[in-house]
Amino acid sequence: MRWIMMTSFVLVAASGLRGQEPVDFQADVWPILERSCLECHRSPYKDDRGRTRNPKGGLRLDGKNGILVGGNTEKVVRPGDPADSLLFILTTLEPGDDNFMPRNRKALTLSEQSVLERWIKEGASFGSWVGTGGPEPRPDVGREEVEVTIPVVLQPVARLGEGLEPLPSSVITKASGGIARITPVVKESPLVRVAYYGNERSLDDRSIGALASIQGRVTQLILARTGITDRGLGSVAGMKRLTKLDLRQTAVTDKGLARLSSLPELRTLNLFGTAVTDKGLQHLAKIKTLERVTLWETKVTDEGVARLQEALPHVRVVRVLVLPPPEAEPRDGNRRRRRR
Amino acid sequence: MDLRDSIHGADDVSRRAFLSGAAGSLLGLGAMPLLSHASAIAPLGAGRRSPAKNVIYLFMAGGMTHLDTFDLKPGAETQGPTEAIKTSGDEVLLSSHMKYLARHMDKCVVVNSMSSTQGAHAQGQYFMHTSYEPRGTIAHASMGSWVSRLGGRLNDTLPGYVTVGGGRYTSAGWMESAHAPLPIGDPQDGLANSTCSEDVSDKDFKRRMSRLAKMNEAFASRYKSKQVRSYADMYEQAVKLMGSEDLAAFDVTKESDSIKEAYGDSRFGRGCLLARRLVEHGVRFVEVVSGGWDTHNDNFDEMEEKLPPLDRAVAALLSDLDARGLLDETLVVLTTEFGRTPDITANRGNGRNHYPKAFSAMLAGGGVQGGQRYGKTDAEGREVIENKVLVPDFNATIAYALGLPTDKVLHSPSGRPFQIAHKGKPVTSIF
Repeated sequence: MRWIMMTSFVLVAASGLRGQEPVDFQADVWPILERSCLECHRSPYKDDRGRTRNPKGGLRLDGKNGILVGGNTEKVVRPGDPADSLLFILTTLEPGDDNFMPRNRKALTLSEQSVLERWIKEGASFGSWVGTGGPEPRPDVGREEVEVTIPVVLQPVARLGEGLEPLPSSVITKASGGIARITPVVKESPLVRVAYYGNERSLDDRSIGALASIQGRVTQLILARTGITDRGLGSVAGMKRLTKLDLRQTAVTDKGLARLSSLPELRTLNLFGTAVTDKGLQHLAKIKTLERVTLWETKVTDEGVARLQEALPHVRVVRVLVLPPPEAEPRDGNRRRRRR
Repeated sequence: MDLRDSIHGADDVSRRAFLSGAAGSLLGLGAMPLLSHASAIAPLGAGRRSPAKNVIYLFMAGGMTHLDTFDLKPGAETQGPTEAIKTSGDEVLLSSHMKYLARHMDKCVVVNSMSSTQGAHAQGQYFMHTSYEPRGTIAHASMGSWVSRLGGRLNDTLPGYVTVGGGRYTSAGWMESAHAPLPIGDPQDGLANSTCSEDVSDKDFKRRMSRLAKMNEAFASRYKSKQVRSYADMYEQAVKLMGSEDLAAFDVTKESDSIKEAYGDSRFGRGCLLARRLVEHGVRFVEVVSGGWDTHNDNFDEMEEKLPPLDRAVAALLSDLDARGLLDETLVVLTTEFGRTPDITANRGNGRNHYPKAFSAMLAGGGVQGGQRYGKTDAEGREVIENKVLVPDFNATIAYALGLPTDKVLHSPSGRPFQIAHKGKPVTSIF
């Protein structure tokens, strides 16, 4: 390991000392290829014993065309991008690697590696050199390179998180109590998502108290299938930046919902599989920010939902599960295919 | 995972350190912007609330005909006997064999402008899964592994990536084995080999495991590399899962009869039901494979037979996810490796052949704005004439939905740079 770090250092140093004159293919690169690569990678030829030797892997490095076209499976030079050029990658592996090149021969010296790397980086120009025939390069059907920057951010969250710094990891570790998965809601956001997948049974009204230290930062809280009850929701009531709360399949009831009515930013609430009734919906009617409520498999009625919709006209309520009806006749698993 | 790989990989760490060190200083890679701070406060599409967390990826292996499923051309000669029906998505027509799914088109985006460069099954499926064309010198990682790697697990006990009912070109490729898919053959059977044999008592099992750990000790302390550790981790993970409550997630027989009947009695239907259970328990990426779409012969009879079970299963899945409040967080993808020829082969019995130039896919949930079509083919379904979506673009769109950075570069053990979706450009307007 130490040896490796040293070579790496020497390589850097060597490149640093080099002048900025561009690499000349014929003078600098060709001798390297000739010495280390051509025995296996050149146009078919007869060897000393009269046998025809074909280029290995279909790769011919004895001509400009061959170098640009590459081998049977892929290109070996991507001008400008040594890190994506096999000619550089494979010759800079450690000897002993399955993919190391030149196979069974002496490795390129560090200065040779550096020449190859610079030549590719500078655009892999051949000057006037053409070399031996080789296949015509096909027009590059590759696509133009696109720089993609992803603007994935939640608008409300971006606003809610303004002026806050991301939490230090020590604070997050402590708040997780060893059972919560606490992650930034989007990369680099100061606000977090908290979930208990895999540790549902360990989360109860007491252990949720660990979140108190970060309550102002929690914007999504997934308590699905945990041991939370109405009492534990008292800890949730202080989460002023909470936008999404998932209580599906918990023991939460109407009483618990009363504690949520003071949440100022709550938008999505999942109550699927809870014992919530119309009475609970009255508490929800006070949360003006609500946009989506899931109420399948609860005890709410049509009237209760209608009243909630009246109070919050833009809220989307999911209450029924419409499934395809059972098949008319059971399918025969081995139904014979019509084949001609 | 092959033991040889793992041992051979032992020198990868030093090699990677060397390469990344060299690359970092020589090539300026260290200064490459990954997901820069500036991008984190950029605006986003209207209605976009938060990134999805899970993916249910439905793969129609064999090449699903676009003209007879999601890209209907009523009146065109190339349409053949397939009939179109209207759907709850104003812009979308579907095959008349998809009457249940038609009711959910308001939640779905149909992409009619898919285009691939690969016209053979193996290459096409590989490309679709990895965003890279197959190459001789590297095994690429499929989307599920990328999602597991970049997004991390949601549930430490369960794998990040599960495949159901096949999936031949699903692999972690050059990535660590922790991101390889856990394969489930028949969804009805659940997770094979996950319970201890009756002949082995708890005590014996623990004793055996501790003996194994002891035997590995010397090796592990001599080769302190990520790859060696990941081998031990694999055992630890498996044992953890064996004793976990989450094992129940794999058991579809726990579902009520009405739910099972709604998804249908097909292997694919059961697979969709299993996918829903796994997502509920925090598995990030579940792939369900449906085979037999290679309809060189009897395309129309085959569709009559194949589409109703598909229709039922996907419709049930979408309703079920919605009723459980999971559709926002779950991106449902339905796709295939290529389309099929608009021309119907008269001499070979009403079939359609491989056609990578234009095909269709569907996205639902996960924050997409349903009820729309994206992209277009011409009047006969031959050429993409609007908003072409190449395979890497499609996968970049999945990554975008999950909030994963498509510009993040990861290096394989041999130091080669790769990105999720290989520089594809996400379609952002559908969110």
